[in-house]
Formats: sequence, C-alpha cells, structure tokens
Amino acid sequence: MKRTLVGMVFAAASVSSFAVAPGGDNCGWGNMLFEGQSGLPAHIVASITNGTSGNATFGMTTGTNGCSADGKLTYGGKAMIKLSAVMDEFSEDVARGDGEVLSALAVSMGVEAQDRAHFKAVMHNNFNTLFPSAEATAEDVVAAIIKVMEQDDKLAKYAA
Amino acid sequence: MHIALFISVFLLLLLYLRSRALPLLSKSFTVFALLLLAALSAAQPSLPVGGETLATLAADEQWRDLLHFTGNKSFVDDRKFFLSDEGYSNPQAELAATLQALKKDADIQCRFPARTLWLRNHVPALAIAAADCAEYRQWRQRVNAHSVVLVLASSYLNSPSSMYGHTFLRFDPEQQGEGVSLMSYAVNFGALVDKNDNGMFYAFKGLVGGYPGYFSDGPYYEKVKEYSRLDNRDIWEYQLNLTPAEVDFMLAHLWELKNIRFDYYFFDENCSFRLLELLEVARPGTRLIDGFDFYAIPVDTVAAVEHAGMIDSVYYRASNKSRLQFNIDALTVQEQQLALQLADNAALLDAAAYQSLPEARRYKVVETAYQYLRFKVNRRQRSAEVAQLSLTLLKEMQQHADYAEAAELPVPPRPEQGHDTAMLDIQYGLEDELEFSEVQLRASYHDLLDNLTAYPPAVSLNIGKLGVRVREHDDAKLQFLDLIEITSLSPRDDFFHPLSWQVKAGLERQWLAGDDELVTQVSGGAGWTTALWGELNGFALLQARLEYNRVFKHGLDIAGGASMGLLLQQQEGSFMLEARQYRFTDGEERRQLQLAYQLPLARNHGLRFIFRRQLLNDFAYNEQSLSYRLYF
Repeated sequence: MKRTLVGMVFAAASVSSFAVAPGGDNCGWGNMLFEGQSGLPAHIVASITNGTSGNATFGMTTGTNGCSADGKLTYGGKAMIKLSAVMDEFSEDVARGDGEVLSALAVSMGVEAQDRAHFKAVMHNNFNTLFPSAEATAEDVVAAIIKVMEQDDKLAKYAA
Repeated sequence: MHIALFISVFLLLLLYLRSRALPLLSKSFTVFALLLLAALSAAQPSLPVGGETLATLAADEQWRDLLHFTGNKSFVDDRKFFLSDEGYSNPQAELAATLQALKKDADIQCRFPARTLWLRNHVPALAIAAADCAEYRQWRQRVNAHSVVLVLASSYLNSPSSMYGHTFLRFDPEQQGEGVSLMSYAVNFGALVDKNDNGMFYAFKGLVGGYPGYFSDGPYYEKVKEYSRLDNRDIWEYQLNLTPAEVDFMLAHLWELKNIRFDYYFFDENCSFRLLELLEVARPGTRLIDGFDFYAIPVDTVAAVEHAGMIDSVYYRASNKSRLQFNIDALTVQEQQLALQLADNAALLDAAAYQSLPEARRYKVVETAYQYLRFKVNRRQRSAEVAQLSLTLLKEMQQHADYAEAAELPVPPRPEQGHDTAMLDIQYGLEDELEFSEVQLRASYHDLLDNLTAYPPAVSLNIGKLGVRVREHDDAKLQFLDLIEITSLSPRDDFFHPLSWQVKAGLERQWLAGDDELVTQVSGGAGWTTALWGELNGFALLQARLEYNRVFKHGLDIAGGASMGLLLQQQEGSFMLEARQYRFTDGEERRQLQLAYQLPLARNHGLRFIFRRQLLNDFAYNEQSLSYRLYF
C-alpha cells in the first residue's frame, strides 16, 4: 500500500516536472508577443460578481495551467515571473529601459539589488535580440533573456 | 463501564447539589468534575475542558469569528467546514467536535490550523503533539507573508456599475523594493461564475446570491493586469499595520477556508464583507462588520478599516488609462494628432512632421502612441498587423529611451475621502404658488451634482432612493422611489469615444388628467457627450420610456424622446441644465426644463438648488426648491 502511494507520488512529481519544462504544452509559455484577450466576461457581470470565470483556485501548489502557482515559472531550473502574462508591460519596460515589470523579472530571477540597474540596461540594449519579430513567442523571449544574461559577465551567474 | 456510569451519576448529582445548595463550590471543581466525567466516559475520546468552560470558550468572539458566526448561525454555506452536524448553528457543539477530532486525528490540525492555534492558546490542557502539515507548510512558504495590504480597485472608465469598487488582500514579504510587490501573493473572494451564462441573467444571479463564492489566490501581477490594464481601474494599496502574529493567524484561517463555499451576494455578503471578517479574525475586537448588515460598499469598508486604525500608509497605482491620459495631456495639440496617427500607421515615423520634432518630444509622442494603441486593442483578439505596429513603435521608443522620464502622476484624493455613501436630503420648495417640503433618503451612492471630491466625474449611480413630499393642504405622499438610476456622461474626444447612457427604474409622481398619480416606469437612453469649453460638457441622448399608469388607455404605454443639456462639474460646485421631452404612443406629451446647482459646504454637507419647468398636454407649471443634503 505504502509502496503504491510512493510510486504515485513519484509519478505525479515526474509529470509535474515535465509540465514545467520550458515550452511544455500545459505551462503558460508559448504565447506570442502582443497576445490579445478573449472570453472575458462582460464588465457589468465582472463588476457584480468580482469573480474569475471557471478556474479560481486556492492554495494549489501547482497552478491550473500546470505551472507553479507562485507566480514564477521555471526555465532550465531558474525561477521566473510568468512573462507571458505581462508581456505587454514587459516589452514596454525593455524599450524604455526601466519599469516595474522589468524589475519584477530581475527580482524573480534572484538578481541582487546592486546588479538590477545593470540588468535593466543590458535588457534594454538587447531589445532587438529579445524581440526579434512580432511573431516571437514568450518562450523565444525567455530563451533570449537567458542567452543575453549568459553572455554578460555580471549577469551570467543569475542565468546559470 | 459500570463504574464509570456510577461515578458519572454521582458527579451529576454533585453538580446538581452545587447549583442548588452549594453555590460556593468553585468553578474549578466543576471543571474538575466534568473532566473526570469526560475522562471516564469511554464511548468518546475525552475533552480537555468541561461544559461550562466549553460554553464560555464557545461564546468567545474570536471563536465565533473563526466559524463566521453572526447571531445564531454561520455565514459559511458549506457542510465540510463543520466537524459537528450542528456546527452551522451551534458554536459550542463545533468547539466540542473540534476538540474531540484533534485528539483523534492529527490531520485535523492541518485542515484547521487557526482553530488548532486558538485552542492551544485557550485550552492549556489540550495536550496534542504538533502534526507536520506539509501541504500547509509549503503554502505558507510560498505566500511568504510578512505584512498585509488591502487593495481597492476603483471604478471602470465609463462603467458606473463598477463604481462600488472591489477589494482584495495582498501578502507582502519582508524584503521590499521595486518589482517585489508585483510578485506578492493576492487573495480574492469572488463568485465562481459559469462562463456559459449570458450577460443579464448572469448579473441578476450575482445580485441575488445564485453563485457560490470562494476564496482564490494568485500572483499580484495577474490582478494588476486584470484591473490596471484590462479594466482601466486605478488601484489603491492600503498598507495594514497587522503584526506578524496577526498575519500568521489570518493565513492559518484562510487555509481553513480553502475550497469552502459561501453564497455570494453583490450587496452584503460580497468581496469586501468577507475581507472584513478576515481582518476581524486577525485582530479580534475590531468589530469591523458592524454596520454592514444590509450592504457593504467596498469604499465604505476601507473607511471602516481606516477608522479602526489599521492603515499605515497608502499607495496609488494609476491604471494604464490614467497613465495614458497623463501622457496625452503632456503633448501639444499637434503632437497629440501625431500620436493618434502613429497608433494607426507606423510609416509616419519617417514623415517630416515627426522627424522634425526634438528627440525628447519624439520619445513622448511615440510612447503615447504605443500606449494608446495597446489601450485600443486591450480587449481584442491578437492581429498580426497590430502586433507588427506595436513592435515598430516599441523599437522607436527604444531608440530614444534616453529621453524617458518617470511619469510622476499627481495622486488624486483617496476614494474613502469622498462624501459618505448614504444621503438625506431635506427640501423646501414651491410648485407654482403651492408650498411643499420633501425628505429624500438614498441608500447609495452618488449623482452628477453631489460633492465631487474623490468620486469619478460624469457618472451617477443611485440605488434605493425615495422621496416623500408634503404639500400645503395635503398629506405626505410618496413622491418617487428609484430602484436604480445610472447615468454615464463621459465626454468623447479624439482619443476616447465612450457612449453616454442612462437607465432608470422605479415609481414617480406625475400630473395626469388634473391629478397627481404615482406611475411605474422604466426608461433608458444613449447618446454622446462632448467637452465644449474647459470643464463644461454638452450631452445629447435619445430616450425611451415604458410607463404604467391608470390614465393610459391600456395602462401601459411606451414613449420615445430625447434629452440634451450642459454639465459643469467642479470641486467648488456643480451645475446642470437639461431639457427633456417624451411623446407617448397615445399622444401624451411631456417636456421638462431643469436647472440644478449644488454648492458643497463640507465633505458631508451640501446645498442644492433646483428650478424645473414642466410642460404637459394641458398645462404647465414651475417648481423650485432649495435643499440641504447630508451624507452619512
């Protein structure tokens, strides 16, 4: 009995580690740049019920999309803010070279406070590498971020 | 077993005697007796406290708060929240059941960490080993809470139904800094709605409690995206001064509410009400929910939390729309036109009109163009052209980013600093030569002339308003009863094109065939508002009205019509002139011209003057009145 249980836990663990693999089908990555919205409830309804449609959950250790529910995804084992959810703001912050979402990415990747200004500058200077085309997916962007960091002396350690 | 029975009877006899003949026997003896009784009754695991202590404990405010009791029943509408069959209506039975369950089953500690914590503190005799609650522990690690922020999302652009706002909680880690709070953990109470339900039915269900309400959680940036970007609502963040121990207890209790159903009611048992309960659990004795028996308007609940001295500081997070408006206002008229065109056509980046601008201005124009484009397509599906245009504008921004400046938006007055949401109006006036006085009461919320401070402009939302009028030589009569009245007169400009609209339903007193009759009506209109000069707006709406009265041939009749007028809203006083006309299918025609002005005296006091000329089929009359308005 106990052995079955342990086996099940392992199976579940391996399924979930598969799910958080970069670009995994169930895992939030993969949205394109400037992704639109669909299926939002009408204003009046949303304002009356303050609800979320369908998938409101509480206290889950994995999110409904199969990813970590703490607001971070992992990419190659690195924790990261779920960029696909805030790509509009993120791309704008990178173009500007500053902003709250860009800071949040640095915080989520464990970039120390003294290196954050440098992190922002590097992202800003590599705008065209991060966003090579309007058809880039969130996964492409994340891969490019990691690559840019790996090539930077100060930031390489955070991407490793 | 026989011995236990014997001793039990003996103890009960002693207890009986104590109550009759031995009143001086100490309470501790009773407790001892009950403990012995409990210890000896073999059928159930023993309780570490006796009946009387149990009763005292069960009456404790914090215990009742943990069970969400009000009066003699709990707000929780979910069987699995209670360990006793009577738990829903009997806090003592639930206390006894919890104590028993804790003795039997270590898992109960993991399901009810707050109850466990509370009982450990209040029942020293409760000797149970601490269970290792892995799931709960992981969740707490993930929430990583040091302090709590009460978040208020204020109203939508041009959507008065959202004027009541929404509140939820954010849990912040100890380490603060830019970007950190976006990663914080947010907890929301809302209805779980069925995507397949259609609009109005959906809304109605939300009003009457047809949806189950649950707590849900997620990262704060998802919430910011939802309110700040998608809904264009400004967000107010109220840092609460809860101690780490209080935060700990609140989270322990939140865990108990995981997947627990409350019925969701728009007016009273809503998002804000549930949060007040949580705050009461965290800090007992605050009595926050008192006074919210019938409805809990989010902004009022924030005021209650502030009144309880629980707010340390306030942070304003402007919506994407507010930041866009700020940027638009910083451009010249010519630059605004450029930004508008660029949001449609990136080829204009090469045009002389743009290229001839100084680089700093180019940055401002292109940033505004990008933000405006994203605003326009906010709720639309992705299109390849818009994506390409967005990227092109971003690349241009990136080129001139040396000229980027942090936008220092002025912080508007806080929502809870506006007038209170209920209103009493005492009026004296004349209908032609006839004197009258009138008293009006409004449950909520704000009309176009009410004191403007901290309210969004150009919207009116009145729910539950009635007026009783006493005329010279006449008895007091109901003058009107508005169930609901909503008006939105947001002006259109080059950038924003909101529709102006109005709905109203209720009873009104109306002159009909020489008598005044109470008629039942539903009316609505739609049209445009535009800025005429400075803050003076002009509006025009097409109107329709469905009315039932005794005089109409068929009782029920429908009218078409129109209204137009001027509106000037200022902190120092607001003014409105409106002409309105209706023609019913049976030929009845009504015209009205109204001029109204309100002078704010103080936050919760105002004077209102109204002049009205009514032109009916057979006669016309004037009405003028002066009233004092008290908000409370």
